[in-house]
Amino acid sequence: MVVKKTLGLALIILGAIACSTPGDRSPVDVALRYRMPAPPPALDPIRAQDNNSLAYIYLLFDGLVEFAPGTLDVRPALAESWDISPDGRTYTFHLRDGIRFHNGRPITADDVVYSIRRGLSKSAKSQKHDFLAPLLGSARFWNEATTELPGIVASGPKTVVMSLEQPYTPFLTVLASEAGSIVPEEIYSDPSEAYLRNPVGSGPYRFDSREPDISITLGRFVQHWKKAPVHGIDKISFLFIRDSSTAMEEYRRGNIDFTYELPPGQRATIQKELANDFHHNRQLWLCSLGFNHASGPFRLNRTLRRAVAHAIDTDFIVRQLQEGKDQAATNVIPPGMIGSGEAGSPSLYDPEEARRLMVEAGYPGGKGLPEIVYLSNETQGFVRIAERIRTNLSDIGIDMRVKMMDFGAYLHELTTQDPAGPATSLYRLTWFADWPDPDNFLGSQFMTGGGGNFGRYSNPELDALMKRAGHEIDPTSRENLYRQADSLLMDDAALIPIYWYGQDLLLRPEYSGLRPSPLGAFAIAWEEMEKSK
Amino acid sequence: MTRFIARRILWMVPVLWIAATLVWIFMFMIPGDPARILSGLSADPDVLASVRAEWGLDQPAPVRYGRFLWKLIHLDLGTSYVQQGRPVVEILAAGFMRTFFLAAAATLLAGLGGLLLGAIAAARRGRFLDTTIRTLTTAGIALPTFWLGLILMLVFASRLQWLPVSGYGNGASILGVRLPGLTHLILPSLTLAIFSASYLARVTRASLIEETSQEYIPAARARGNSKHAALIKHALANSMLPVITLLGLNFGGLLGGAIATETVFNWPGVGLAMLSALKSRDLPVVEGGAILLTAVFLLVNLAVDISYAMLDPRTRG
Repeated sequence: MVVKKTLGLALIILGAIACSTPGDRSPVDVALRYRMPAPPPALDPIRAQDNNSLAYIYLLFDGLVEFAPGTLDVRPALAESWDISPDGRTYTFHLRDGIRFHNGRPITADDVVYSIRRGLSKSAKSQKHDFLAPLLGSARFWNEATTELPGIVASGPKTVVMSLEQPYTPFLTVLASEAGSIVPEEIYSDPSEAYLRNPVGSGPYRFDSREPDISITLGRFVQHWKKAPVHGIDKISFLFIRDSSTAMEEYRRGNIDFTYELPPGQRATIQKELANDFHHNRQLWLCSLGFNHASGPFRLNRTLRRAVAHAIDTDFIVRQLQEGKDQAATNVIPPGMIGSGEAGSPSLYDPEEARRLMVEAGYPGGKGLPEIVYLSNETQGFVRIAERIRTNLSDIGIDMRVKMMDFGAYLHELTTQDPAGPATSLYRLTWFADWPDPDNFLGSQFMTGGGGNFGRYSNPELDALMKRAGHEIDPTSRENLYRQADSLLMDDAALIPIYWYGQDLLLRPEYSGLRPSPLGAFAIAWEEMEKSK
Repeated sequence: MTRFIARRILWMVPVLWIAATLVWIFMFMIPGDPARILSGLSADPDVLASVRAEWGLDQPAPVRYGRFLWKLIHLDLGTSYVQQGRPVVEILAAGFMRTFFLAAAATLLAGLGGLLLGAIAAARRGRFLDTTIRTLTTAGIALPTFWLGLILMLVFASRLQWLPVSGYGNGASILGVRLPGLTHLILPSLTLAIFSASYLARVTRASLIEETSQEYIPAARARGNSKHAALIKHALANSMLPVITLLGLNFGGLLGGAIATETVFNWPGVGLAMLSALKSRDLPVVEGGAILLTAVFLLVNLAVDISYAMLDPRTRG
């Protein structure tokens, strides 16, 4: 009897599988099929920390201002205009008429105040309080010493006034990031956190559906203040395909319309094969080698650091190992961000000079130098880079031990190493700005005590320059100060820039209006694009 | 038989506790801070501290272990650190069911293919067909699954375009569980089945050859059975014990997640979920998953032992 029942059940299941029609309620029907490597961890703008999540956040949520597509220029969004006081400390925003959340409720100045306060709230589990730190009274509010936040006030139903502790020129850039997203209080004050599953914003797309581990679909928000193009993209279905080779085959078969992160070793072939689909742009990301400035041989030894900088063939790494996707970096701030140096400057690679500097540093031919420990996360490309750097350093007599770890262990090692112990001497690091401004890009990495200053670099001259630049109102003076900061870091060999990231994208040619963003694929303004056929 | 089953089920409790404790210790020991991974490279110390406090990671090890066991006893696996707001049970259940369908299809294919090939090879022992099957099954065992999956995909999906490249497909739903698309199931289950079928064919062949040398086979022939009837009715039935064991263990192993195959074919199963969770130190998912998979493996083993006991009462112990 049991056997018969089991057989019966098996037959029913097999029948159901056999009767299924592939694609009958599939995301294949939607206008744009976007390959994502993994599901997003958090669809809450104040918790999202990864680029996967940001791809949704940028479409689901609007802020007062936004980045113009393909640029870092800030333009009006929910606010149609704003005024900045002459001292650069007070920003008055005027909201548009007719703006609504996805649940249909009109947006008011009180919603803006709620959202910004939420971004500075520990109980809301915000990870964006450093973004909003320039607001007056933010530190006391964040530390829960007070419930008053004088830095933001609704002075009318459509007027919001923000006051800063000190002038902070990139403040509009901060508000254009995810930290400036506006959310409805009635949804986001729910202690059950249902908004994590069904986010509600006011962006050009609203949350439509989710198939766990398989896809998420967003639909066009028809009441959005931005008018949709005639042949605009009505739906975007994010399909989770982990492996880049598998994603590439799906693209070739026509099952996805957009992908990035091409499989390694295939760039030239894909570029040729899919010339009309292939797009490339520069990103504001830097791959660099950091030194341990707190202990070990590089501490207080600028000459030795310079020797290593001259020994590494960054052009080879970019041309051969990175397949030409990236750009060899000759300074720290990426091209496109204010304060960046001249692109195309000559590479530092000069083994003869490196050997001479080794003698000057007191380690001729590497004699007397302890073993150098190099730390990196073990992505395939980074393993090859580590091998190349070992070869380059070996050419000037330096023995290097490579320590490759999975990302979690690498982060642990990077952030918890004991300065007095047998520490890592060199570490590979990918860095991108939380908001695209050198204050964030350099400050966190190199200012004394900065959250991303893993090598414990400390230079009072740099600290002073960064503080001055952060509060400087005049754009030209500010840019000059960041150029000086960049030059100072290079002269001091505080790090070795390897390359600025480039990004390859594949998009079917029937889609027009693509303006890749230097921030990353997550910031593409799909709502302004069209499908021609 | 009831006492036999009850005793085996009771034995599962300490085994599960040991497995859970080992997994907890390993996850405690491996470097990597879940709060840091989730919060990013430049995370603010305040934010890190509040995330750790929320998850109880700031507590001493005995307290954390005690809480872990307490929740486990109450069958509470918690919510994922990474997929925020999603219960671990939901993540594991969804992944497990998808892996179950894949494993069942692969085991079915492996069972049919392995038995058939093994029986043919035994019947044609020493002849061309036997040599061919032995050569092919050696290759089937030796080929790496990841590579084999990619080759099958490139040939049947990319080149010939007969089958989908990857994914779960859109099957019908039964009791809220969505079934995979039939065409989507073929390549990943075939990838998994090739290894198992090859192994099974060799075991079946060896087992059949051994059985055919037993005295009861000439006796069966003497009672008028043909050579093939004696082989199928008597020798095959008696050689089933190792075959069933192998199939059962293979099925139990596949339920643990066929990570390489799930990765190549983007099959959203439990293996892929566990791998992602391990990389991001999503402790509740890794711990819950390890316990679930241990329990499943023990249950499958129990089922194998029951079938063993039914086939051969001497093994009931």
